[in-house]
Amino acid sequence: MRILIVLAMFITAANLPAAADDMLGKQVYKKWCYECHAAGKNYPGTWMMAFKSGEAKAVLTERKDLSADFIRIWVRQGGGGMPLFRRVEISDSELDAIIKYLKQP
Amino acid sequence: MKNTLPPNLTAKEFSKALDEFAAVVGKEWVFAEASDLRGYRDPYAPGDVSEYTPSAAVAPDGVEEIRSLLAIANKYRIPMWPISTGKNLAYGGAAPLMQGTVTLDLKRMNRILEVNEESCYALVEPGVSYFDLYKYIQDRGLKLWLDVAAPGWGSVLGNTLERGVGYTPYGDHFLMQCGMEVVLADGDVLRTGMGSMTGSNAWQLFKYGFGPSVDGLFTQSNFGVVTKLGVWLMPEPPAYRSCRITFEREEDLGQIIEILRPLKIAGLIPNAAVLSTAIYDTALVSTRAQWYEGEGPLPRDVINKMADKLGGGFWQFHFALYGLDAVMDVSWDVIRGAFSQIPGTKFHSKQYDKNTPIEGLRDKLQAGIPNMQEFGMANWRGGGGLLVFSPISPTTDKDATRQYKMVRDRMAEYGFDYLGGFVVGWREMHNIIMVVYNRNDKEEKRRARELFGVLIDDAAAAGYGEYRTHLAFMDQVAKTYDFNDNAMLRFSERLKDSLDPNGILAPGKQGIWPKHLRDSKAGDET
Repeated sequence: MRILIVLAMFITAANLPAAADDMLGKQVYKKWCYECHAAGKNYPGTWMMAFKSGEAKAVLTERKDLSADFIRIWVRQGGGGMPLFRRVEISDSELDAIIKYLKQP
Repeated sequence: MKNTLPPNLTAKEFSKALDEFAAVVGKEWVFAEASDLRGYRDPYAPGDVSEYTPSAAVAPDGVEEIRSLLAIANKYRIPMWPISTGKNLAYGGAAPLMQGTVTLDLKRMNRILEVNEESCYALVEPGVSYFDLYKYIQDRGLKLWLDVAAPGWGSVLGNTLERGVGYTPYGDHFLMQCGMEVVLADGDVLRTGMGSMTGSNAWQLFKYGFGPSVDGLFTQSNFGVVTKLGVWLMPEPPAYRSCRITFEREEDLGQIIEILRPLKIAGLIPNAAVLSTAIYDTALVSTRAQWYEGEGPLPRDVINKMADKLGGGFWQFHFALYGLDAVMDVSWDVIRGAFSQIPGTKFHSKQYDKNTPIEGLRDKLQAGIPNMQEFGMANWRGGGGLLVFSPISPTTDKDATRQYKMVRDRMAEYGFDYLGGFVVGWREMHNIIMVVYNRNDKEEKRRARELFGVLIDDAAAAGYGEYRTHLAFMDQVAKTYDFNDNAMLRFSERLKDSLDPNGILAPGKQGIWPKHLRDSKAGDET
């Protein structure tokens, strides 16, 4: 029984940082990315990506092919109509959390 | 990217100044690496983006830190360019006008200090965006509406200081401002209006206090760093009706304006309404290439297709009614009756009650719901690049038609589409024209910049002045306000010399240069 409890504690503790990261990633995504990249015709990032890369690649959260570097470069350097984001806006750790959120299975 | 040093400082001296900045705000909030400074440029700059790059950026978190930073800036004579959220895109973004400047990034100061539901106001710091304030109100279920600039990530304080506009009855943002706290260049802190009395509880209720009213001096200027701002909020109406009237013909413009003016002045149309072209509304949700691949301005048959897709109408007039059903019904009847004189006019309206979700750009903006939809305009030509030409027009047939034709024809001459519309205030209109270009195309960017300069001159020659402009054109526009040998600019310069003798705050903003740079800098940026 004691072993089970210890094991359960270990699993929970190991999962905690990941869960917190997921939560942070979702929050930061909602704050900074959602209003341009949500699903639907009224979001400029989404319809522009649909136009350039096709409907299948239009919605960020539905993409499976985004690399960490790709996300990092677009956030920190911008491109096309998208301006970049400063570290005062999205910190490095928040950017890591966004990447993790977008790359989760 | 090579960093330019502030004027008259050696690299060693500047490094020492940065260490002193770091001692105030913490090392992590001083940015001097090229990778960080990229974020303090203007991505839409109509030229080389490195043209408007600061030497460093520093991000304080409070009034005392700002005072300490300004003391250091005065000691080393380092120019400082304050930004709020840094999203003044199309007008310069987060970038400073002069190289050798340090950006004073106020984004960390993002506290909503008070929202008062009884008296309908808020007190905010510079880093609070429209999204932030909207979320705060929604999370608490407060019966308040705010008025938002079209891109919701803009600063409530920053947009008000730039005298930006929104789309509800509170659309004139500076008109709805009440009370400021300002840090002057020498570190002195003042509060305007009733805030200048210790213990007054009417700071956000009565604008004027006692003595001169000075709030306007801190808008579109470089006389101080505004650290707190009061804004009036709108009580949530019992119902809201979003209305759209379409007019078939381009030449209907004059008649529309003549009918509109008395309705607006009398308050029958209560909000900051928008009269846009079919091209403008189309560009919000699609790219040019989806409609036309050719060079030069869009052919008429393509514009007609756009109008058809919108349900008809070269001109699209968007406005809203608020309040009780019976009152809105009467207003709607009067407005319909007035515009029915124009052949081919069609009327549309959609009523929203408290629990109806509000969808669509105009419907959201007229209800003060922040979003980013208008930002889609930057995609129009691909490559994203945007300047906004925004002359003021009297609400008359003569002026609106003259201004429209003048700008349309000049834009066509330079190969650009007229992407414009009029935001209708009480007695005037902000003619908002998007000069959209591909920022990856050097030649197109050059043409856009040249066009913009010509538009300013055309407008000035006809007696029209811009209400706001991009960094690259601040001197040019300032000079067009030329009554009595530019008496207004000379007055601003006298204030500048008195309030900021070392010229550390935002040199060149709105054409106001400090004394030591006045002759060498004014007018050299275009």
